[in-house]
Amino acid sequence: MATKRAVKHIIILIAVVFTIFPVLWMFSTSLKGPTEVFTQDLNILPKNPTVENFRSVLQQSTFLSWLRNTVIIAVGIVAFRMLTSVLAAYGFTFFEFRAKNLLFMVAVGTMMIPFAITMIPNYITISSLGLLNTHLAVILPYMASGFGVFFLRQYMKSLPLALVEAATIDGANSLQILRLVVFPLVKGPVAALTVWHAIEAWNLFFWPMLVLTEQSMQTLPIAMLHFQDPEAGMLWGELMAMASLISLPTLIVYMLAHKRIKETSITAGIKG
Amino acid sequence: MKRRGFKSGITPYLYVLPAIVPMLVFLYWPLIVNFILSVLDWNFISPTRNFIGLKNYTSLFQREAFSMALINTGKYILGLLPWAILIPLAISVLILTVKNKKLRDLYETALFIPTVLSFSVACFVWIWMLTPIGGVIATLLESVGLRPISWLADHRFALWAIVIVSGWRMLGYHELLLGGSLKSVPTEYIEAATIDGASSWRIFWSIRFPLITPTVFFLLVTTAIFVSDYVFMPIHILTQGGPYNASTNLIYLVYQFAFQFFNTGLASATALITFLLFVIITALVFYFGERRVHYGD
Repeated sequence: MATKRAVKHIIILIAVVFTIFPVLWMFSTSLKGPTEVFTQDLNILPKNPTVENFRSVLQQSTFLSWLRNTVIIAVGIVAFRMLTSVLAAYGFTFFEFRAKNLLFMVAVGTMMIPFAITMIPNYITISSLGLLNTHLAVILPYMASGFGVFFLRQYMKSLPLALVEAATIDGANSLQILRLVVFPLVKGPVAALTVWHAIEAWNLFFWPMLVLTEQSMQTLPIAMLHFQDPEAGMLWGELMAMASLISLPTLIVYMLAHKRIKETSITAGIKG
Repeated sequence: MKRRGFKSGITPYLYVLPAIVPMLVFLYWPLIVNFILSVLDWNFISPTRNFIGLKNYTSLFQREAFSMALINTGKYILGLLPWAILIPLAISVLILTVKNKKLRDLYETALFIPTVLSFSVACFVWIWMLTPIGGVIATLLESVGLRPISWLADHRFALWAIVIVSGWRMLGYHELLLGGSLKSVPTEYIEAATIDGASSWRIFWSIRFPLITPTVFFLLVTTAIFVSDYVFMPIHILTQGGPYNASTNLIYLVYQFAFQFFNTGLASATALITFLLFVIITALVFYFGERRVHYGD
């Protein structure tokens, strides 16, 4: 029995080590000097830790532009997505209207449309609007989220209708009811969804890569491509320092809110 | 029963349209544009767009890159199924039997880390680990007397390296989903079976597994459809589809046709074929899988 239990924990631990080793290795390499990066012994803890790699990444004149672009785009996407999702979820939950079912299917159906189909048409739309290499180019296609609408509606559906009716009798209009009655009751799910969308927006890669070709307009995840130089060889220490800097915000948010994030992602998975 | 709510009129549309309009413009309209582009000969900038009927489609089937991409798309799906279902299922069953709740949460939290990590960042970390000179995997292989492998430059390994990187990221998320649905199996069933003397192996296959088939089935469908989108990023960062298209897939080919060769016709035709293929795969999975799924009462 004891050996059986030990075997069980060993199998789980192998999976855990396999999962987190690359993350540890990233931080470890980022703190190593150029000679230690290529040694044969695999030290997770660097013998002579140095912040030289971080200094050289942060000294790049474009780093701050990359950071600024990433933040502006992430904030823009999250703000639009949350606003459109809250309003739409409210509309779909508390109103009766003719096209309701059809429009709800339209919203949820977006989750089944692959990126391959949308990338060329959207690129044409954005470039014909003259928006290439602007923050708006990245934000516009991500203004609404089918998952966001679906997720918030699930919670709003469970609210007692009496609350809304009482407020109506008191003469409140529907926007006041959303602001003063409904929104305070779904703050938790709204917060969880905000975090989920923020992590997603922070990590966006392909679409920004297509529409942001000017180096000074790019975001951090795309900027990693500039450290990949087949001629000069890879600057692994600096590359891993850059990788660590990009990962830290999401990892910290995850550490603080892992319960919420896991719950949201279960819903995200079940939705389809 | 008349559902909850306000009297309608135009107000509900004011609430839902801010979400619906961008969806129509950036997700549904592209479906139409993509179809139109697939019957045109165009390069993104030329003022002339000639109608060439199905020529883009027939030309695709004569290209080696396309048949490679088609075969590889299948390889990716089959290669990732164990990572998407078998391994996470095995691990979630093991984690479920861990008595200490804190330890259980710790395991799941650790396994989930790759999901919140930027996938592009993770891809660069994996390139670093897979490097034949100085990479940690090469060093490990050497330490047991094996020769280092140039994973990404070798046509036999490139695709499987991408499968491992993608599987690494998928594992914890799917473990969480399967673990969640295993936890919702009523404990009375398990207790009753234990009293009757059923082995834990038997309990799993006769009680737990049938009750979680909806989740397994769901993962089967999403894996079949979304794997191609999912491996897009590691393909681009790790191998650019190479060497000699050994690791490309249909969706990466769409990107290459469009943004490297500026041939919107071939690109949209490939995108449309891919989309239809996934509709067919989904239909097949539903046809053969649905009857084995136990949805409970």
